[in-house]
Amino acid sequence: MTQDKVDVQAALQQLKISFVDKIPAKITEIQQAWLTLKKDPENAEIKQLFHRLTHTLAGTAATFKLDELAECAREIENTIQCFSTNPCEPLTITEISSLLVSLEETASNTNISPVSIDEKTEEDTAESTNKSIATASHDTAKNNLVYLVDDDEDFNHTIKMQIKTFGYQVESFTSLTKFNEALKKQEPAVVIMDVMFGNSKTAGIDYIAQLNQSRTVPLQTIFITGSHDILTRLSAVRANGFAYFTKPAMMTSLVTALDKLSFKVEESPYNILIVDDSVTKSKHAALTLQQAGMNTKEVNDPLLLLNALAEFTPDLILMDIYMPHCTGLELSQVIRQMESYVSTPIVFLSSEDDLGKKLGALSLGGDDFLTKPVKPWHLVSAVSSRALRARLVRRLAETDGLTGLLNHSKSKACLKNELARAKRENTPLSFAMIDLDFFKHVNDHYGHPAGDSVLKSIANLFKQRLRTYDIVGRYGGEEFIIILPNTDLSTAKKIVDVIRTRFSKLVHYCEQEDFRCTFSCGIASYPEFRNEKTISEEADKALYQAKEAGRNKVVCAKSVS
Amino acid sequence: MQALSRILYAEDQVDIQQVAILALETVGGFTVKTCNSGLEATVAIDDFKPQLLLFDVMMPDMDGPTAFAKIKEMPEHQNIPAIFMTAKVQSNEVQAYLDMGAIAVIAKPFDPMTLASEIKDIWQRSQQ
Repeated sequence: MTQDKVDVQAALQQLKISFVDKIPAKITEIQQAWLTLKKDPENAEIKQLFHRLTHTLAGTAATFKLDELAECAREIENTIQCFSTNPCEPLTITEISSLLVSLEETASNTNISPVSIDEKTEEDTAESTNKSIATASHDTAKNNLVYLVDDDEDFNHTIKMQIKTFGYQVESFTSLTKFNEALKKQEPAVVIMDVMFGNSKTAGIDYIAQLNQSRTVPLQTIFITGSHDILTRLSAVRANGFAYFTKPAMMTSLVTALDKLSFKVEESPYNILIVDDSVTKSKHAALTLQQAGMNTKEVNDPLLLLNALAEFTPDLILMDIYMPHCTGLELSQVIRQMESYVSTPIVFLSSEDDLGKKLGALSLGGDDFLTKPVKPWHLVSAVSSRALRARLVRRLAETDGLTGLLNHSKSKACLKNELARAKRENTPLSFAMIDLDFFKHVNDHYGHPAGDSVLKSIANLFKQRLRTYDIVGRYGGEEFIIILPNTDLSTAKKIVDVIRTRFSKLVHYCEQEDFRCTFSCGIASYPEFRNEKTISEEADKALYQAKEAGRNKVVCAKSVS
Repeated sequence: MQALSRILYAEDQVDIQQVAILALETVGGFTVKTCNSGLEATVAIDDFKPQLLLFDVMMPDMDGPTAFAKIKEMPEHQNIPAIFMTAKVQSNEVQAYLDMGAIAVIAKPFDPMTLASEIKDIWQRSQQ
């Protein structure tokens, strides 16, 4: 396959992904039109709207080879045409209603697989892109098989249960021979290996070292042991050990290491805002950056920049210098005068080759200057390296040091933005407030380090179990918030309930003692509650009710109407 | 015979537009002006001066066939050929579009990898 073809395929795949993201909103629109039409079957305008919505969904889905979805929508379109000729037929109403249910189901099972069938690319990429958009966790995305090898059966059992709560599939072995047999059948993502077996103090390490000698890629191994002398640690490093923990293993550190090895915590793609009055040029830059895995938004009228900034929260702004109405230099000064964007990098794009002017641009708040025409790889590397650094800096300012979750002020800002988006896109949104139960007791009884470890483990669980676009923040001491975009109240309750159950099963260790923790949660949703103030107040009230009702519960805020 | 380069394209669905632009510009190398409705196309035609019209059939704010009929009434554009794209390829409907002067009807969904060559073939046949 030629490079051009690959590029087109990649671009098509991008378009498909962005279409799939929009499907739930489109279905909501169709459902709303249907509700109106049911009440007022004679209304020709609504009928036409409903017809057009189903027609376009069918057409677009077919274009992206989402055949099942297309067929479902097409069937509704055909039925509504019968409805047009015979509006009062109750049979048709039932039929369309049930077709709409299956449309919604089909949509929620829609997979993103490559658009075009061409040679063997489909096979090659299917595995990496075949991610169900409907599942609320990372479970299906990657190889999550872990082999646990330890001759202590009780220890194996406890650790196995614990790691499973974080979404891993675990198989445990009490002997090296059994482990070796399993290895021949299936490769795990990570091996957790005890160091001591029988009389040998380093049998586990020696075994892995020996295995790795005959492998081109070493096994990803985490060693666990009762001793932590320097010689054993050194031999673990020489056997390519990724991490080394002493028993009783701290679950949080173990899971963090597992996550790093199995890439379970994925960086979300960079958001790049492109400001250029030329549609063609901005589209070209956008496609180049999208192919490198970045999200882009194009602004072709510089006067619309402020809206785009607030909605898109870019990691970096790519700006043309010469534009109508105002220049890129003026715009960058405007951006720099806004506190929230002081550190957002601005990279200028222009055919300017006068060094003096370039330096002038940088003194006005620009970070880099690329001279057109820019080679695609140059654009990608200039943009991604700056976006990465900006993101790290921003993360320090916006996140809580202990848990890595968003801090209070950033959480609030996110709620505001997400609510605005939900209103604009006419989608639901749920807001959950979570408070650990009897946390003061944990700190008083087990000490603050144990308390910190509980906070870290709940944060880890949230990151693991939620979707990449859900937002998690640490609101205060033991209080957390979750923003679930495009999620209604009952779905949000299900999601949080799963996390609550898993968390309550998690065992925390402290010196010689182990203990469990639970949390209570209150959820309020948009559109039942329409602004940030009421939605957080109502979630807080629901949280209070959950506490009153005995804790370890999720309570939903009820709307008054 | 003149080679085809400028296409005036009308389609109301942004998602389909983007796929078509990839198919026509990136794969096919054509210069494409995209419109969101038939009405927009009847306005854009003066500046763009296309060699070919590529219209979706069902669009709000003037559908493809109506826009084509309007364009045929404009003396300076009356000879520009049109291709329609539609999901409903019933033979009587296709015949109706051909009767009103369309040179071809392409079935939706189209294949983005071959759309451009299909259009080139149609163009060559129509020029003979």
